[in-house]
Amino acid sequence: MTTNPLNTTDPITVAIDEDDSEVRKTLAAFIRGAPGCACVGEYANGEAALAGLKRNPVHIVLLDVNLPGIDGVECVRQRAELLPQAQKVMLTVHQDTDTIFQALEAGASGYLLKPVKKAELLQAVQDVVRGGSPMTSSIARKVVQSFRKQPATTGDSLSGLSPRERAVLKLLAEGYIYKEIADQLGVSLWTVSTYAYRIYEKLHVRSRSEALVKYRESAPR
Amino acid sequence: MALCRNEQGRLKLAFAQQQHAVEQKRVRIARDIHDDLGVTLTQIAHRCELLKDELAQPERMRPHLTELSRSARSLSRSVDEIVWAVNPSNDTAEKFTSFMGQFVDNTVRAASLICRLALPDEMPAIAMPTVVRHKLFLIVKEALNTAIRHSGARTVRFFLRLDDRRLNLAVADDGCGFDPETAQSGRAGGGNGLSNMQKRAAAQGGKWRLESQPGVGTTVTVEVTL
Repeated sequence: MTTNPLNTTDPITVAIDEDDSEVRKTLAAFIRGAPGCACVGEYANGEAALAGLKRNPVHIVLLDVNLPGIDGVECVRQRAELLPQAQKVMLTVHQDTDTIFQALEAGASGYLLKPVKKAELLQAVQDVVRGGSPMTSSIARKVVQSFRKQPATTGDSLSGLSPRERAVLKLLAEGYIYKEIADQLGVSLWTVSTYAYRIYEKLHVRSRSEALVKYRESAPR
Repeated sequence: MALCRNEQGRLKLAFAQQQHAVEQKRVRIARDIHDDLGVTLTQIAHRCELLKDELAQPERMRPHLTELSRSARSLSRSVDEIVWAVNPSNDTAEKFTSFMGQFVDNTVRAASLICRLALPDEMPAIAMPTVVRHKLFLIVKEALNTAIRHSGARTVRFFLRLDDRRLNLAVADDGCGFDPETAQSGRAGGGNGLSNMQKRAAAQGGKWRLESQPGVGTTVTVEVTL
């Protein structure tokens, strides 16, 4: 993260990219009603948001997975390239872990399942800005699978992760929630959320380097 | 182009069989939609009527609104479950495992209980027909509901294991337990849920087992061959 709005008196700026106008209005009203937050962009599709956000950068973008035009995952990928400083939080009605996971891999740092509660949304905004992330057991399992798939250089298939990150991931996959993990590892709730954020970061790096390898392989010589 | 008579007959029969299977599936989905969605939607409509009478007293509106919000959220979950059940792209052991883990986790936590999962990190690419995964889902749902509503458990554990092609699922609680003899003969109430689970498992050629001990807890196990 380049700017940390918590260090300043500036509000946390949020943009919403959601094609359903009712949902968009509701989310915007949630953000406007929160102290310290400002809703500075409302977009109905990916193309408009990409153009608008380039002119008006924000701290956080709330993105619907199912956008018309460019699909949600591709949208995150493009935004990760164009707007690396903005935190991307996915909004999804899907219980579909695959889509959520693909978005996380492409650069999102969190996700919320619709219908979203106001308190949940505002908590997520605070968490993401401070460098934390939500992760549930089903996503943790996907992360484990994803790290297992990469060629192991040292024999340990989760070698990209630190021992603490691995411990957190294992407990998450077994159904422990942040609070239970914090108690078990003797750290704060906040620290656990930060571990999750770092695990997502490593996923992004990995998927970026994979994309680069694919590009090199396909490039004409 | 004319087909010979036998060929035509064979095609007609195959078509009729296929249509019958599709119809059966539609009947099942219609029933699920009615059970899951119809009832809750009716409750929402009724509550909106009640709400109209309280417009003069905002404080008396709050419990109705809380209930409306809860009902709408539960509807949203039910729609997810139905969509998951009918979408053929979910017909694999991996998708099943992933969905079940998430479903158990959400359901148990929504009831403010502790949830523990033991799922394989990876599942082989084995196909799982819609009917099989849906029946297994209903068995697990029933087992969870029984544990949540009747056992007074603190923790619910969910196990899923695949040995060769044998798929094993278990829901275990640390609740009050009971004497299985009494419950299965229907005398202890909750017998309906138990016999439903048993019937569903049998319909898929599966084995269903109940182990319970008063004061220790209950474990429901189901095993099918994929």
